[in-house]
Amino acid sequence: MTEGVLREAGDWARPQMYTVSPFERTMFVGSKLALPFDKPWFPLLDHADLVLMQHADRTLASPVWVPSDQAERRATIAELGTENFMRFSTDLVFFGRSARLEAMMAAWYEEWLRWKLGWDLALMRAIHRCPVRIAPIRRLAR
Amino acid sequence: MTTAERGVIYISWGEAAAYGVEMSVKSLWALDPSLPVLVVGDDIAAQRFADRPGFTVYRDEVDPFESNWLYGFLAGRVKPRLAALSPFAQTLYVDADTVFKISPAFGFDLLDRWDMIVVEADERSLLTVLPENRPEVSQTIAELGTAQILYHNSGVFFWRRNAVTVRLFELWSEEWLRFHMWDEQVALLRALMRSEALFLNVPYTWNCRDMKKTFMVFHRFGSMAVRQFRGSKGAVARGLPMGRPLVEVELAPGRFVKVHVGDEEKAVENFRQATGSRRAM
Repeated sequence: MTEGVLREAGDWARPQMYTVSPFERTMFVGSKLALPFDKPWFPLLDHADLVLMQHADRTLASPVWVPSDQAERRATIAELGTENFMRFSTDLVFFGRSARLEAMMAAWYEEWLRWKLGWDLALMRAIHRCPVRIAPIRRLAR
Repeated sequence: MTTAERGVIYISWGEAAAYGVEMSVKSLWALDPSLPVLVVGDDIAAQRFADRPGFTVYRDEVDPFESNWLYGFLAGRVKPRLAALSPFAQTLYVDADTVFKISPAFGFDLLDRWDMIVVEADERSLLTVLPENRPEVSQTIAELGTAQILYHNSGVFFWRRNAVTVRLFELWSEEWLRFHMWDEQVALLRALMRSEALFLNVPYTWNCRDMKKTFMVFHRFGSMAVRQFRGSKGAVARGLPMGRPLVEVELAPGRFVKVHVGDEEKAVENFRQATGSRRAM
C-alpha cells in the first residue's frame, strides 16, 4: 500500500488529482495551504472512499459570493434541489482507489468543465450524481 | 416508489414523548397526510395511538430507562433495532420533540441513490459529549485515528431497507453494547465507518434547533424533557441529581464553556442574550 502526498503547483484542474496521483492512497494539499497538522487522516481511508474537510461555509446558504460565481451557485442549488447540502473544501483531500470513486472523480471533472470556476461546487454536483463514502472532517478553524 | 412504501417512525416512552409525537405528526401530516407513522413505545403510547388512522403502534417490551434523570433514557436500546421493526422500504426516524417545516419527501427521494442519510450534529465534535462518555469517545478517537471527524445527531435519519443497512443497524447495536452509554451517536459513527453503507452526510439545517435556519425538521432537543425536570428552584427540586457532572458546551464556533448537565440550553440562551444574537423561538 503506497501512501503519498500530492502537492499542488501551477495551473491545473483539481478534479484530475485522481488520475495524476501515482499513489494508492493520496493526501492532496492545495498550493495555498500550510500543512495544519502532523497526523494525516489516512487511517480513515480504511472506512471511506475519501476524506473531506468542511468548507468554512457549511452549506450553499452563505450570502458571501463573488458575482462571477452566482450563476454556478444558482444552477447548483437548482440541480441539487436545495442549498442545504454539505459544502466541502478541496484544499485538503484524502482519497484511495475504487471504481465508484473513479466515477465520482470523472463526474467532478465534467462538472468543473461547465463553468471552469471554483472546485467545490462542481464537487457537490459530482457527489450528488455519483455517491461515494465520505468521512467528513470538521473545519478546524474559520 | 409509492408513498405507502415510505413511512415515519417515532419512539415514545412517557406522557411528554407521546404529546411530542402527537404534535410532530400534526406538522408532518399538514405537509404530507399520506405518510404512515409507526410509534414504538410503552403502554402510554399504545393507548394513545392505537386505532388512530395513519398510526401503527409497536408496544416495545424493552425498558430504555437506566434511571429517572434527564440522561437516563438510553436510546441505544431502541434505535439500533428500528431497521428490524420498520415495515417500510424507506423509513424516516424522527425524535418526538420536532416540527416539520417541509415534507420529508425530499429526503426519501435521495434514497434512490443513497442507503442512508445522516445529519451532522450541530456541535459536530466528538469532544463535546458528556464527560461520562469520555472513555467511549477516547476509544472511538483511537480507533478512527482522529477527533476531528464529524459525528451525527440521531434525532433525524433516513434509510432504505437492503442488506447493507440491515447490517449497519446490527453494527450500531453491536457498537452501542460495547459502552451502552446515553449518547448512542458515538456508536452510530463507529457503525457507519465499519459498514458498507453509502451514507449521505447532510448539514445540521436538516435537524435544527434554530427555526430560522431549519430546512426540514425543527428540533427542540429535549427542551420538553428539560422542562419536565425543572419545576422550581434548585437541582433537587428540579429533579436533577446532586453533584451533576460538568459538560462542555460550544457557545460559538471554537468557544466552549463548562456547565452542569441539564444547564446546557440555559448557557446557550444566556450567551445569545449577552452577545445580542437573536433566538428563533
